[in-house]
Order: sequence, then C-alpha cells, then structure tokens
Amino acid sequence: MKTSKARENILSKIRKALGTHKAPQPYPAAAEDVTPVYSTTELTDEENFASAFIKLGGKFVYCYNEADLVENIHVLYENSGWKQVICSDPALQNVLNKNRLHISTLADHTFPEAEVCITGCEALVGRTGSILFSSRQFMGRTAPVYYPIHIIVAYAHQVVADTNHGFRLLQEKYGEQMPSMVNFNAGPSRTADIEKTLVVGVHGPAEVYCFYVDA
Amino acid sequence: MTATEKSCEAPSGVWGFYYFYGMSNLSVFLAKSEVKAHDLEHKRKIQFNIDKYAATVVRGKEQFAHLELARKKAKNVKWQAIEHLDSYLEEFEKNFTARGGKVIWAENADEALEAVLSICREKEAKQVVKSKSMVTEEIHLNAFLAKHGIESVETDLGEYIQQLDDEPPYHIVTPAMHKSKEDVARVFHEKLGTEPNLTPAEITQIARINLRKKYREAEVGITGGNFLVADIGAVCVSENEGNGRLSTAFPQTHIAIVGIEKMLPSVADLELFWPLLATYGTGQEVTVYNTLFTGPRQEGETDGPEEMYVILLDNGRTNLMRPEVRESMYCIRCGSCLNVCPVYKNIGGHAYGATYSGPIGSVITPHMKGMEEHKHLSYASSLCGGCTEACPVKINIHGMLLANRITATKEGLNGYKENTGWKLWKRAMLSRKLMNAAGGGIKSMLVGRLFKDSWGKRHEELKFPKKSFNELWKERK
Repeated sequence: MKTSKARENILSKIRKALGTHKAPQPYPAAAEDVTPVYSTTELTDEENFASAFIKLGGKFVYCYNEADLVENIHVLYENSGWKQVICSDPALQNVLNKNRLHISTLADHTFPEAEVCITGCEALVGRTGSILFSSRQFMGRTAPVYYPIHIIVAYAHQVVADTNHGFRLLQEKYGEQMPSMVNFNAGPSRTADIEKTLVVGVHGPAEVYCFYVDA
Repeated sequence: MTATEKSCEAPSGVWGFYYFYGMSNLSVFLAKSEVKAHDLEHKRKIQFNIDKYAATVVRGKEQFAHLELARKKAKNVKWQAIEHLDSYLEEFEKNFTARGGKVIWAENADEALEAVLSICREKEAKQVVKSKSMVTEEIHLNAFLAKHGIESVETDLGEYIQQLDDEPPYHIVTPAMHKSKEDVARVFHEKLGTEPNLTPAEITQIARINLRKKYREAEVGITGGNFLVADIGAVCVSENEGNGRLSTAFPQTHIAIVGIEKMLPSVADLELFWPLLATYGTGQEVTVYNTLFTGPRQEGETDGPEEMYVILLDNGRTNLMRPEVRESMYCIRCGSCLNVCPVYKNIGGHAYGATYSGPIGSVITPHMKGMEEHKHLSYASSLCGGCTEACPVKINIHGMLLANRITATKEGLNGYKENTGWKLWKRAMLSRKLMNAAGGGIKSMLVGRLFKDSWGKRHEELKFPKKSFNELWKERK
C-alpha cells in the first residue's frame, strides 16, 4: 500500500496551510472560564443516576445488600417466565449460585438464544444516567448488547459524578492495560428513524434493569 | 433547462442519476429544487419531522446551565485540534498503533476503497456489516464492494431502509427523514415481501431479526467515527440502536473510516462533545451508545475483533484549511444547520446532489469536490444566519457561504453572461450621464436583457420609471 506517500502528502498540505495562516483562538475568555456548563441538582450522585436512568427508560431496582439482590432477581425471574438466562460475570454467577439461585448459565461463544443476560459494569455516571462497560469484562463487547433483556448489577462504590470521573476510574483500575473498547450506555436500544417515532429494542436490548447494591 | 414536474419525477432508483447524466450540476440542482420546492407532500413530511426534532432539542438543552459557554468552549477545543492537526494526527497514529491497531492514510476515495478491498480480500470476506457513516457514503463504499462480490449491509435502521429503497441518505443524521411510515412499510413490503402497512415497531423488529444473522456471519465490520481522540488513540462511535456495538463485537476485523477533521485533542473533551452532539443531533441528553475503540482485542479480553484498522481520509478536507473556510473543519456533523435552513426545508436533502447537504454541505462541497462545478451551492442560501445560530460549535456558516461566493467571483467562475452583466451594470451605475441619458423604457429593456437568465427567470420584469432619481431631484429642488 502506498500509505506512507499519502501520509506525507496529507501532513505536508496541513503544515503548509498552517504555516500560511494561524487562526486566533475564538474565545480566550471562555477558555479561562471555569463555570460548570451543566445544570446541577441538590441530589447525590446515586440519586442523580437513578433519576436520569429512569428518565432514559431504564428500570432501577434498589437492593440493601447482596442477599437482597439475589432475592430481587429471583422475584423478577419467577414473575417473568424467562426460559434462559445468561450471566457474563463469573463473580456474579458465583454470588447467585452460592445463594442457591441456579437460574443462569455462564456466557460463552455459542451465544444461545437466551432472553436475558446479567452483567456487571465498570461505573454508573450520575449526571447522565449512563452505565460504563468495557471489553476487559468477561464477554464485554457482546454480552451487554446481544440479548433482548439486560440486567446490570452495580455496587455503590461504582457511582461517579460525570463522564470524566468514569474515565479516571478506568485509568486507575487498568493503568497501561486499558480496554480496547469502552462504552457508555444510556438506557435501552432505541430509534426514531421512522417519522421520529420512538421504538425501543432495535439491535440492542429493549429492556434494561439496573440492580443497585447499596453495599 | 426548464423541467416540467412530470419529467423530473419520473426517475427513481439512484434518484434519477442516469436521467440527469450529462447535465451540469447546476442544472440538475435547479431542476430538482424546482420540483421539490413545489411538492407539498414532501414539504409536509419534512416539516413534520423537523417540528418533532425542534421540540426535543429544547428538552436536550435543559441539561446545560450555560449553553453559550459550552458552545464557546467547544469551538475553542476544535480550534486547538485543527490549528495543530498535523501533530494530533501523528499522536493519534502513535497511540493507536502502540495497542496493535493499524493506521492507513488515504488521500482520496480510491485509496480508501482499495485499502478496504485489500483487507477484505486478505480475510476472504463475503459479508460486511456497516454501521451508519457519512464518509462511506462519500466514497460510495457499498457499490464498490458489491462490484467486487462483497455484500455490505447497512445496519442502522434509517440506512437499512434507504439501502432497501436504493436511495442515498436524505439527511446526515436521519437518513429516511423524507419517508412517512406508510412509505417505509411499502418499501419493506416491496423489497422484503412483508405484510403491507406494518407499524414502525413491527418494521423495526423485521430489521432486528434480519440483521442479527448478519452480525454473526460477517467477516468484517465497518464503521465511521464521530471523533478521533489523539491522547489515547481512540475512534469514537455514537449511536442509538446498538448496531455499531454489534458490528464491532462479532466480526473478526473492524475497519473505521474517519475524516481527518474529526480530531479532538483529549479523551477529556468528550464530556462536553458527547452531550453537544446528542442535543443538537437528535435532542437527546446523551446518545444511547457512546463507544471508544482503542484497538483490536487485547490480551486477556474474551471477545472482539482480532484486527482493527483506522483509515484516515483526506479526500479534499485539506482544501478546507484555507483561512476563510477553516472553521468548517470544526463541524461535528450533528445536522442541526440542515434542520433550521429554509432552503433545506424547501428543496430537501437530495436536491443538493452532494453527500453533505444543507448549509454546511454548501460550504464544504465546493472545496472538497471543485469550486467550478459546485459553487452554485453557496448561493443556495438566504444568508439568514439560522445555521450559524444553530451550530453547537458556533461555526460562522453563513459567513463562509458568502466567502465562497467571493472566491467564485474572484476566480471568475460565475459565467460569461453574469460577469459581463455586472460589468456593464457597474459602468452605468458609476456614470451619472449614462443613467440620465436613457429613458425608463430603454433602461428596462437593457437591464432586463442583461439579467434575463439570472434575475429575470424567477422575478417580475424590472420596470424603470421614466425619469431617474437624479432628474426628479433636480426638477423638484
């Protein structure tokens, strides 16, 4: 491939243009201004997350502790008639099994036609109601999007204020071993491509639950 | 040419490309505009969609306490990125390569297409899944791959509809904006044999079922990129449906084709740019899936592609570095300026005959594809400034449309008749003697003739009074 010639040509065209004319900074005063641009609330990050997530169409379930979590998942399972549940988080699968809740099998590369997938997450973003996932999680690229119903289990220490706090959390956790894919997911898969009519569950999940464990 | 409504509407398929073959871009533009501007059904559909968009944008903006400051900061960031674009591109390349990704530079569409084809051949790919990307429209990727026996299927619902209907996207964010739900149901009925009159929800389910197979089968996934991030070497893809996630989860090769101007200096800039893009693009606070890709599957990861390529595309973008239009490189392709533009709302996205339509498209297309053939787009504006007002990064769009007109005039591209007309006009206007000498009748006739094909075509005939202002003033003082 003649890539290096293209590389040199593109860079030299840019340098030539930048050498001929330097544009002044558009708004020097705004660059110095540290006023937060987003609206703030009186709520905690957890409360912000819950309210934003619900607004996005997510279903938020509060759990006191892991025992409560297992109980809540059990109730949901009993009432929904799901035939097959996948869990893509080995630690969570362990928590469920340890509590004698044998409803799920661990995710693998066969991608069975299960209705539900239970996953962990990297962080919850308070301001936007987004949930952070990465490819460092087990089956991290596929599990959160392939199945029609997505259950996310999150813990209190995973809540951050906004997007950049989420990035910082990842950097602290993984250092040089950053995940190849990082995703901020804000609620169920949706489209408004036909007459701007909202339809949920296009290619990703139509239902997204967040089980929030306050421990 | 004077096209009757009937003869212009006849061609379908590639929106009458072959029908208009041989006509100049300007004539095609005028002919299509004339048809669309008088098509009330088209106007109704567009107005319906844009009204809904406008109502949600108001809600999206509520997340900002200081929207004006946010827009100014965003413009500063893009200024920083473009004023040092060479170093940021090198930084991006270094960081992305360090994690096992491969960077390919492409000066034009052909180089990008050849690069994609050679990767597909190496992987023996028969099936490609593609998420929504205007760059791949720009280089006509699907048609090229089809010619080489590779099926490239669109996975974004709007693009899927357009691909089924054999039409290019109508709008850079909402590809099937000009179709009513009945139109879409008809396309599905005709092309896929589904029941007629399906609802949007049913249509969506059909697309979901059809495309799920494709994600699993495809050897290659192709995406565009909403941003390039220099400091961590990442490509960002923003989407609502999950098709971008799935296209980059199952296929063993991921190719991202991204215009070089999509650069942001730092990952920290996304906290500002993701909400701005979502708000101005669709009225959301954030897009459902905002994803960063920093390379192929890393050691210890359990899924994802074995290889990832980024194709950095110029294809005329470096022409936009000239001082008077450099700001157009700040564009984040949210489509907001299209939605407010009175010209867009009247003539629609297809009339422009360009991948990037609307005000920003009229700024960049003449530079990317040739001033002489596309200069007329810069005149397709009332210069009302709505586009500039609506731009999340405060690009002076209408100012640049004016700058393009100046460039076209300076380069003498406005055509012999118009140029001569204005020269004679100038001579007459500067001479008091000439203006007073001729009576009203002869002036009307002369001026009418000079501008017969430009002004006279769409306006009432010019009628000069019998006496000039100068003469009247002399009489009455």
